[in-house]
Amino acid sequence: MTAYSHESEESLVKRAIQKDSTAFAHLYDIYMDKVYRHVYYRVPTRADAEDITQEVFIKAWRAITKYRQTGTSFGAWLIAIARNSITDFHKARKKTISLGDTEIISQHIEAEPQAMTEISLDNEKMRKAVLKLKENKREVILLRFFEGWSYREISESLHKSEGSIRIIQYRALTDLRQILRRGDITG
Amino acid sequence: MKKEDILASCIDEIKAGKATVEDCLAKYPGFGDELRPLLELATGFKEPTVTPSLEYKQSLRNRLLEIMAPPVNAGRKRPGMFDFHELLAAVKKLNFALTAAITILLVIVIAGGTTVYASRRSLPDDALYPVKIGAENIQLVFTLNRDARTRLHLTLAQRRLDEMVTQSDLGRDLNVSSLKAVTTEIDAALKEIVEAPPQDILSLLSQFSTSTLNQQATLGQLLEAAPEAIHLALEQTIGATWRGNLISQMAYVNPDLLESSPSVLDEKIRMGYFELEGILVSAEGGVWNIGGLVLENVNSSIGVPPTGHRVDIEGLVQGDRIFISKIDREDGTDNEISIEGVFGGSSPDGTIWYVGGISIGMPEDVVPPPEGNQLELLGVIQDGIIAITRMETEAGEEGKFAIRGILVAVNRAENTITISIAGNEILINIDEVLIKGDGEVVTWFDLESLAEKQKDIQVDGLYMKDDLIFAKVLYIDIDREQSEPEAEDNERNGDDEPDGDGEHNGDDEDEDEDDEDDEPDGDDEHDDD
Repeated sequence: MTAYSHESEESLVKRAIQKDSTAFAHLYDIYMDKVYRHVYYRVPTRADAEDITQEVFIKAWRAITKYRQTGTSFGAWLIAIARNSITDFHKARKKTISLGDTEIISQHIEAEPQAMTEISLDNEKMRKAVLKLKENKREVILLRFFEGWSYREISESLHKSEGSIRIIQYRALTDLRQILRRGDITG
Repeated sequence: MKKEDILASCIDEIKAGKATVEDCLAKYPGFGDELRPLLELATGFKEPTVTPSLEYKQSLRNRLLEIMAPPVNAGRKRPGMFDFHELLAAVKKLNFALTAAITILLVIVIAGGTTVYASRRSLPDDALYPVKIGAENIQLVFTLNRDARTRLHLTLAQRRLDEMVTQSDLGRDLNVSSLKAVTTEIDAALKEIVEAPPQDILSLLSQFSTSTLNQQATLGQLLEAAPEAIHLALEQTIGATWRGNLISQMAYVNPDLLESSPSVLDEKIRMGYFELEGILVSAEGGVWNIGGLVLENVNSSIGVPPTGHRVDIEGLVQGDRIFISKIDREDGTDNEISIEGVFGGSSPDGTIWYVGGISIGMPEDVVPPPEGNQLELLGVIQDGIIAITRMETEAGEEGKFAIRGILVAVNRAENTITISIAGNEILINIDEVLIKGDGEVVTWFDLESLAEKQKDIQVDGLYMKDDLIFAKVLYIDIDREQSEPEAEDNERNGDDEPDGDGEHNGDDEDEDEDDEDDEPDGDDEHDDD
């Protein structure tokens, strides 16, 4: 909680749309960690995550006058910008997003040993099992259990109903259990 | 209720600590066999605590603020230009000041423009000096734009100092009234900044910070040559510029500080500056507990670091509010706290001491240092009272304060360092500098290493020579462990401008997700292999 929490997010967003830099800086304080965490799990290195997070907020400031409070929360809007930036990043690396996504967590660990403790699940098996999930299931598991998002936030970000997200979560956990039981977690 | 919803509900309750796996299974006995393994799996995820470093967050925040600040002069009228409506509004406000200014203007017009021109180089005690001051007053009255007025006040402060340097070079006596004018002008500039529109504040603070640093260096130069009789007045003015610099640096990071209408005339500002290190136990609703020391009314525009870690914070106590201007996360888990600031006295029974504006419960038998001394306390807080493990104090040196900035470059060949203060890079010559580094031998390598990591550094005893700022003392805090190349990998200087005009803007949420199993009613697929 920040000292300026007396001002509602809605009010901060309205001021930011009027190009009020102080209000936007407060929104940055509120959402920085969340955006960074989202990017972190989807790019190979911490440095990439930092670059893209910076880009997200600069793009958001430049596009803020286009943002309208029409149902999509400001946080979801930032994440949408982050997702576009991540896509651009992988395009620039000439990799498809799905291949990139599958390799991201492994790359983190290879590139930065200290990331191991941060990113590790209970054990190596679990990590590899998550990597085996299909993309949308992996995304829900990452958002829900790694990034601590609510169902509503995941629903907004993935453009699916909350009911669909709960179903995907159920299936993802079922698949995960089967993968772990089969022991098919090589590579 | 569908099994997916039951699972989701159970996960929520378990994560919130409202239920256990067994509670959920008992609540939904019909799904027990199916639920148990999934719940155990879901609750077995160890939620990672990936967070960006505070240094990165601060650095990106500053970078954003720079980007968001409008370019100087953008969208503004040229200085001196004004429209009729603004003039009318000003006339309504100014009354006496305007009348006086117009009178002086008439005198000047009658006396002729050449007189004004001739007065430009006049010095205090010269016959034409009042004309020069009168012309400046008129310029101030007719400078209606707040931004331009702020800059004019800073220009006038520097002009008074330049006049004093010239007087000194000519062997003339220095005027205390000129020193008072410097303080008045910078305080007036600060008041303009307090009232400035939000979008102008950062660039004005940046300019204010640079100006007060230059003023301090010029005053240091004067102090070198001035007779003893004027030393006190010079040191008081150095104190005012130091306070101005401190306020601008802190407000640059935490603009909410300006809400307290700080003033360079307020000598208590120095008493409210503190550094505090310890474990952040909690931080809720503006109440922070650091190693058992409770701070109330905390305002941190930098955000709040994660609890359970050691933090090193800097802040300013203004009235009953504490404005945080820097937060660094530190290694270590010991519960000792360290607080440093000016000792501001104690309660009548001596059980509460005020250090840097922070109240600390003290054992009864500790003898306090003299008020105004710089004090560093280390200890462990138990039941609101500090059990002191170390206490260091030294006499406060009013007027000879250190200025802190981020060391961004070191040039061995030129004997210079560059520090960044409130968004500005300042070149400082360290040709004759004394380096203090916790008793350790300091090498160029140490300085370069600090610059690579963009660490804070304190410079003291500033003075001006050949239009260059010199420092007499550098205070550096060498952290040998952090000097190891592999110890830190997340320092980014964020210099490179990203191509922010990429084709994806925020409002085009158009990802093409693979939707093949989006629909919950479709067949479940197992195509992992």
